[in-house]
Amino acid sequence: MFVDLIAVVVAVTGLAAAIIARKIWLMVEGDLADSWRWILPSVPIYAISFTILTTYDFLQKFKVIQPVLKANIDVNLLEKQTVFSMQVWEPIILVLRNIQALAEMAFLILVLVGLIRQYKLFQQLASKQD
Amino acid sequence: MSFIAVVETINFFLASVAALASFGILRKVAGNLATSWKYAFIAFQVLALATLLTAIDELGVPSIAGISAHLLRNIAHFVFIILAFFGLLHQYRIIRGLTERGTN
Repeated sequence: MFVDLIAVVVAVTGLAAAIIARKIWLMVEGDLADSWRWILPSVPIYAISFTILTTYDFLQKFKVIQPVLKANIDVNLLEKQTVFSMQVWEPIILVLRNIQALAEMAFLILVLVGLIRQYKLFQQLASKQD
Repeated sequence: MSFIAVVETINFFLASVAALASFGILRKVAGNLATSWKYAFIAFQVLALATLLTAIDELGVPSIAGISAHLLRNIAHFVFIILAFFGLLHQYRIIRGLTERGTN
């Protein structure tokens, strides 16, 4: 319960941080605005990623220990016999976790591009001051 | 090694590089702006810790020092988002102050 509560607070704070990032982006211009353009979409992506993680954790309570679908197909070709087996294991829950990890990666790549652009900008400003 | 463990390990390196980039910016700026980048520097280190905890959890270590890796990961994410939120709020106030000074 405590873990779930923390997760909900993180997701809501992430969305609030996204609103602040958008406000900053609207106030800045030029190269600084370009760098914020990368950081801006990253914040809601993080919030969405964490919401997916919370949903995944919640769905874990309803997970099954047996495959949802089992299919065995017998194939007879030229007197050779073989069996194709297929098992489906809660595809939505499994895919959710992978999507979350990839969304977190997308967030980090966007943040990194934005940070590197800001670093270059501040480096230029510092060299002009010297 | 599962797909998630691999992705989270990559995420750990990306978050560490983000922390380094924040530290680079921190060294270039001064005053109030430096304070907001201090938040970002610590926040990305905490996020790197969160991704590392997730990777450890995926590798089959369910608890660290008797505390669930799951709970530790969520606490690390919580600290990260609080620091990121206040860092952004701080920067918003600085930029708003600058734009108001520019218009007056």
